[in-house]
Amino acid sequence: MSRYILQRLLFIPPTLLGVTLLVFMAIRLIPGGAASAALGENATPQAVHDLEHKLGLDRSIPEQYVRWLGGVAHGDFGESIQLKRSVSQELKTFVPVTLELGLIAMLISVCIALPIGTLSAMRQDRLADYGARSLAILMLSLPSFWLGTLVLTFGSVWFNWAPPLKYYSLFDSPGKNLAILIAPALILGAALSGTVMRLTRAQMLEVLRQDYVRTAWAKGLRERTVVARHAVRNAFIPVVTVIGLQVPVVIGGTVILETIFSIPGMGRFLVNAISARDYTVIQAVNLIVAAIAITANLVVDISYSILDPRVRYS
Amino acid sequence: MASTATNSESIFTPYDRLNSRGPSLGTAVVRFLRHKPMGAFGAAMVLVIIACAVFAPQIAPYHFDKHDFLHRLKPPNTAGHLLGTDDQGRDILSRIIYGARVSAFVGFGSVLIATLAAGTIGIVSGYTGGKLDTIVQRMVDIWIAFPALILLITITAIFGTPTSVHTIGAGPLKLSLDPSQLRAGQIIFALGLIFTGGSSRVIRSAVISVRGNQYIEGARTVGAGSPRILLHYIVPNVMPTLIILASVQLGAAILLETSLGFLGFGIPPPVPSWGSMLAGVAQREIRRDPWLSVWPGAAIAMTVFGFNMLGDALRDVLDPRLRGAR
Repeated sequence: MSRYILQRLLFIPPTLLGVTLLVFMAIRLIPGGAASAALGENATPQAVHDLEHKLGLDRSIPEQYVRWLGGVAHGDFGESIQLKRSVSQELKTFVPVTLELGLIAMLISVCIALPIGTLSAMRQDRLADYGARSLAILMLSLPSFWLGTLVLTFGSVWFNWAPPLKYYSLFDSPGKNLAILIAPALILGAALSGTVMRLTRAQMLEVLRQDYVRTAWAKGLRERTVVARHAVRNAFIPVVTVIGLQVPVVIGGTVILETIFSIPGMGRFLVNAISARDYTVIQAVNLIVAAIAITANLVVDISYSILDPRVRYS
Repeated sequence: MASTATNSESIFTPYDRLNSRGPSLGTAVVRFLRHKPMGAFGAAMVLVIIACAVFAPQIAPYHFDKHDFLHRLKPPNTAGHLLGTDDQGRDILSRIIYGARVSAFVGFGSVLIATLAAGTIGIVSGYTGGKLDTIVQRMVDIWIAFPALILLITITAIFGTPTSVHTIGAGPLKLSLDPSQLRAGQIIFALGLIFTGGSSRVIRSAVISVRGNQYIEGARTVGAGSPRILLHYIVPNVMPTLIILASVQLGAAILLETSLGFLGFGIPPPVPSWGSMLAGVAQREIRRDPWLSVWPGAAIAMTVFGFNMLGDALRDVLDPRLRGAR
């Protein structure tokens, strides 16, 4: 067990190093250079030179990388070109908001997907199954920015509802915080539920065909007992993996919904940074989201090995 | 979707399995329509989108940029505009029909790149194994750590927003691209790269599973070299996986492209893209004309739904292991 975890942990540093290299090099590939792109077409050569000097872009590429990586290792992502403030300080306020929105959305998706996916498998090839499968594909097909726009449009037209303009943190006012996050979390959760629903159904179908489930039926147990006690536990193990693998999708979804609902999270921070060509922020956000996704994968792998011993012995 | 094991199996009858050439194309299509109605619905949707993209000038009642300032922000079914007009008096229906061009072009272009690149990487990595496979897979690990949408907006930000006509190539291959065409090319390239990572891993798994079969060992025993094994045994067996992946990715590509347009980083105006139609004026005029936000989104949802339905049906037909399971 500990050997498997150690093996997985050993993969993390090279992967993270690769991520930093990719993010770093991507910004250096900008045609004309990051400073020139940030200042726009009308910038004087002197202004471009000054910004390059300030950002350290006039040094050699290896030197830039080592300095930047050293800063990142100490939690210093540099100064935002647009805001002239520390990116790390900004991220400290934005990252928890995105994580909270993502977690609520994932919770909602699980609450929608597991019961419907299970019911769909139990009623295979009946009306409920067809309905559930169509619903899952529909959820995968509806663009979250459209749902968000419709909620804002018809919420305003029919119910005179608009999302709160001021953001309250979870610790300042939990009620107001939830009032702000619930609509985007529901939209994102619904979008995520499609994949989880389909996998839950597939796993349940596989488990329901197993011999031990047949034995449970043969013992004369009720359907509820067979499903809840014998089938669900085993069927949900791979579902844990998919929920974990959804993390990058969740972060991608928060970019859209934070922008629509004006939520001060990492996604909106990134969109604003891209509009302003603030490459220090773009670099930092990409690194953070990749690190979150890698960590989530690690957690999933480890929890999977705890839940299913076959994984760590294979 | 909505397939049963019995229904799926009946697309390929026992006779077809004995007959190595399989059913004729016409017979297969008729059977697909009969046994996979939802898949057929998806295919019909896809055909409608392709028809709109190809024949937009013939189908659309107006040019996408024809302004009618006397009829601005008109509700549906007024003044000869079935779905109404936008803030510049442009016909919404015509812009949606022309918008199908962007979606279809970006969708098919990016999936073509991803299929070719992921197919090559996945097959070589999976078949070769060893150190090459380990190195390639660690690189894929790094690539797939980035959320697709964030990667897409970052790559397009690196390219920068095109503002003038660019000429690429030389001689007979010289190509002049206006800003919208150049942006579409950038998006196609970026999406192709993004999909390549995940797809190559799926294809590699399929190759590894095929590589372990006895008929591969048999081929090797009778003297078949790697190129022959790859072309005659590996590629045909991973082809269903490639087709299924491509059909699922088409919907995902359209969703990502429209998301990019919605955020304001997509195809520049006046060329209509469904995502950018939902942003801007649709947001500003929410109270005055809520319909502006309905139609482009419905077009996206129906198109992606069509591709997903078709992909699901194809998976049932092409991958017998998954029949009725997913």
